[in-house]
Amino acid sequence: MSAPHDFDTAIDAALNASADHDRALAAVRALTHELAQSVSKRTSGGVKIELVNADEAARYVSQMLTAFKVGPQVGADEEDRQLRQVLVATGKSGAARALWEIQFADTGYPVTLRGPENNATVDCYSEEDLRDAFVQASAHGLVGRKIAGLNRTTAPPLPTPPTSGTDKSE
Amino acid sequence: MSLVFWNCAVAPTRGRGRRSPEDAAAVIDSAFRSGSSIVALCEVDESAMRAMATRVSGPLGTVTMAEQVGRSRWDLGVFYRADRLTCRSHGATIVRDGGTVVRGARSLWVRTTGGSEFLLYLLHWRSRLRGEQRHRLESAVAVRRNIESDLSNGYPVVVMGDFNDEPFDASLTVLRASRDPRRVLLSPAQWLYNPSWHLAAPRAATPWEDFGTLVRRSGSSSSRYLFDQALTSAHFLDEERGQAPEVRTFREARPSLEPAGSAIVDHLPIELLLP
Repeated sequence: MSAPHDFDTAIDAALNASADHDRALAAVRALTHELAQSVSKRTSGGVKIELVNADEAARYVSQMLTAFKVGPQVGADEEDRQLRQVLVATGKSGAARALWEIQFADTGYPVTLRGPENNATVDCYSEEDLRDAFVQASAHGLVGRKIAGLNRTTAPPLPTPPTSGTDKSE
Repeated sequence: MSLVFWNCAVAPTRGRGRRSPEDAAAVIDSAFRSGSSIVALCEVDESAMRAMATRVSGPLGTVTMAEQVGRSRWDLGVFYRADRLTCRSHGATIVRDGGTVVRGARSLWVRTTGGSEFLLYLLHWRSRLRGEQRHRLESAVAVRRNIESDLSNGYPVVVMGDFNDEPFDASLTVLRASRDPRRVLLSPAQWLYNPSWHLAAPRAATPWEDFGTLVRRSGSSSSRYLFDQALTSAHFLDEERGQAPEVRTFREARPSLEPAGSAIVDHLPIELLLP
């Protein structure tokens, strides 16, 4: 095999892997968008959900999950940074919470979700798997607590519980 | 410290149990009486763990990991000597592939009364009876990544389980489990030591004796395998002192590998001795 042919094959493989990664990233973005719409609806716009690169998330999420370790990056370019992302919920006060982390393989799948509990990981090998994992993570009580906590400052106060002696339901 | 792992077959996720909780409890009791601090099990559920707990003596702690996962459930449980250590659940590794949910591993923090700590990974990978090699490999990739993260944080790691693979199979290679302690010491952030290798073949002097931890009977013949293994990080190796973890089959309670009754498959417990 000639050297030029080696590189043709290598670049073809690289472009295919890139396309696979783009598809996985697009699937994650679409699921994030769906989740964001649902959270916005349930919190009357009080909580925003967005997907951010891990290094950006670390700037304003104090309790970042830091289990994903990566070595030095060649250039820390956008493409490098996209391999690790964090789903961040932000309240109107500006407070933010990391809901879960997402790590892409170089070729997109498997996509790994770490969270909502630390040290819980799910490797997903298809878009269908990814959707199931997103739905399951969204239903976790810890996610509910974070969203409710962020929304508390903007949400109407909870109704006052009845005082003792007035409840005649028994 | 002695840790025992056993596929006890009391409550598998599919089909009926092949051993009663009473019989399994006798083996667990025997392990604690002979000095073990932890007995980890697979093929258990909540009610099996409760039934066994009432029949094992000593100051016991239990951790049951039988929660639903996909259409199946985890099937792991731990008994430990509460006067010697504490165990608390740490993490879970799951793989989803084509709608199938595969159990990778559960991890627990183990803290001894002396103050030393390590992460204990327990696993029971998919059966060979239904193929599933791809799922075992995917499990290995996912568990490997989490162990790598633990090692980079400096945590000592112990892995015990029914891998449904032998030490030389691809999944154990993915986990970077080596039989050579020097290789592990050369790259402690990369490699795990597998002291189980010597159980994978019969001894030269006694080729007709049992080896491995599992026997599968098929008609009049039977085959032996080493699917139950223990791995450790380099933290437990000390070349200067000549110290290394040891693995042996725990034969005090079950000296024979021959399956009981109509069972076609049975496992021996393994015991890991940490220096």
